[in-house]
Amino acid sequence: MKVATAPGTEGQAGAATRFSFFPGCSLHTTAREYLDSVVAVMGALGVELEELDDWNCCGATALSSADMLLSYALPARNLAMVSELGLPLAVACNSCFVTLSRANSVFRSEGPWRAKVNEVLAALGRKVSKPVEIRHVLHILRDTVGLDRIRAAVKRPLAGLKVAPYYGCQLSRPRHEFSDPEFPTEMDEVLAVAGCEVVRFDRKTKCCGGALMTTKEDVVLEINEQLLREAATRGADLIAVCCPMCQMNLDAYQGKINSRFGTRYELPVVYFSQLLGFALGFDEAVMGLARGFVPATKHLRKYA
Amino acid sequence: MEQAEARALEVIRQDALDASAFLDELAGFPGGDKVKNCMQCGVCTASCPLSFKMTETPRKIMEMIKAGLRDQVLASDTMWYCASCYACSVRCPQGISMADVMYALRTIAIKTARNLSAAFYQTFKDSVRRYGRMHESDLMIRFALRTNPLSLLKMGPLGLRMLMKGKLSLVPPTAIRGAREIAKLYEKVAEMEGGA
Repeated sequence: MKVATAPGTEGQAGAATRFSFFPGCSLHTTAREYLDSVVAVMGALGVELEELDDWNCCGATALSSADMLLSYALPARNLAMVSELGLPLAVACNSCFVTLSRANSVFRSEGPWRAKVNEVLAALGRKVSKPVEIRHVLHILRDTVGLDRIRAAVKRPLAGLKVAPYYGCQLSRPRHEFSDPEFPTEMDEVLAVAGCEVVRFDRKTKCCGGALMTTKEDVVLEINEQLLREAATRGADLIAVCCPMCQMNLDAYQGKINSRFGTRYELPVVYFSQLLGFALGFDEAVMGLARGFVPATKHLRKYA
Repeated sequence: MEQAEARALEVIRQDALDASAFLDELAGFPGGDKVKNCMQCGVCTASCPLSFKMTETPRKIMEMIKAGLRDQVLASDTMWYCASCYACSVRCPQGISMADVMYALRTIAIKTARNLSAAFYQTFKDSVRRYGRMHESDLMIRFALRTNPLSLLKMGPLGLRMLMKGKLSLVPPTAIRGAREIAKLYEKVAEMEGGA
């Protein structure tokens, strides 16, 4: 995959770190700006993301609701391909992160599910012999690249930009070896070194309802209204997210929430990587900052 | 009198058998073996962002499972409200992953359930089989056609705005190169599940 370079950062980041990269379905359709900004930011910071060739849908929580064995075997095809490459796997979507990790967990020990999944893979001529190392891009940024290197690469500190960090559920749960399951801080930290004023956000891991927006819309609008309300109350200019489902629910449905609850929220909901990329010097258009239903551009004009 | 007692004992025995049969069935699913450890503390219900909408709360569902009320549990709306946020799973003092129990219940119930949620997950499964990936527009159109074609009109305005934002595409989705491998994977899974 061709990696964009932020103006003036060439060769600055030191030795490249390579990851196999699983973008997932949303990043190729509704969340294109997440893909573009993650690839750009990682490239600028010396992390090489190699998109997994011919990857398939992880199945998300929809398949674990429809078919148990399939919900392990389908993502395991990706894991088999990654394990052949021998690279750690980088994931940006929270839902892919949790689903791939769940499938990966069966390879940690001998057991009936490991045997079943390997039996399916064997029919395809594939195999997973040991668990793959799976990392979310936020953890790669904070722990592999490190905050110091990010800080050094920032060209446009976003001083005074008030950001509510919204993590959603599936970054820190149920896997939580990298951060606290309820009050994670990795996004806060990354945004802070980009110069943002990260506001307190108690509902940072309260659920947005995810795909239930399709089947249980009324109640999901209600819980998203609560998230928008807290962000507005805390004085946030915008909300930063790390998952395409959270972005869609809070942004595309904000108009509907306003008409349903008589509110007047106008909160842009952007991926943390778009803000970070902008701070690293990438153009606002390249970072897709006008792509949301509520565009973020007016809050960023003063930094351009 | 003896006959009445025999009948009562039969009912008692049957209840006990039902309870252990359902627990055994769930123990066959990942995480399902821990259900029996539930001590009814209610942390799952307190942690759940959607329990206030459920007819039976997660805590109550756990007790119903242990009582062997299989039909009532599977007919409940509880599992269809689970958003897989795992708040209950990380907090449960007994180490029960309630979210995994909900997956197990849904995969059992979906075989007979006739509701919007079941239709959505089934459509998702079929759509991924076709292309190897999920395409939002294809998924939503097929879901609407399956459940309520008129809802396509309601989805129209949002869909149009998403098209204009470049978030949806009208170009028909193409399958991944490994689409035949995916079809084979689905077949193998169906064969193994059918034989189980």
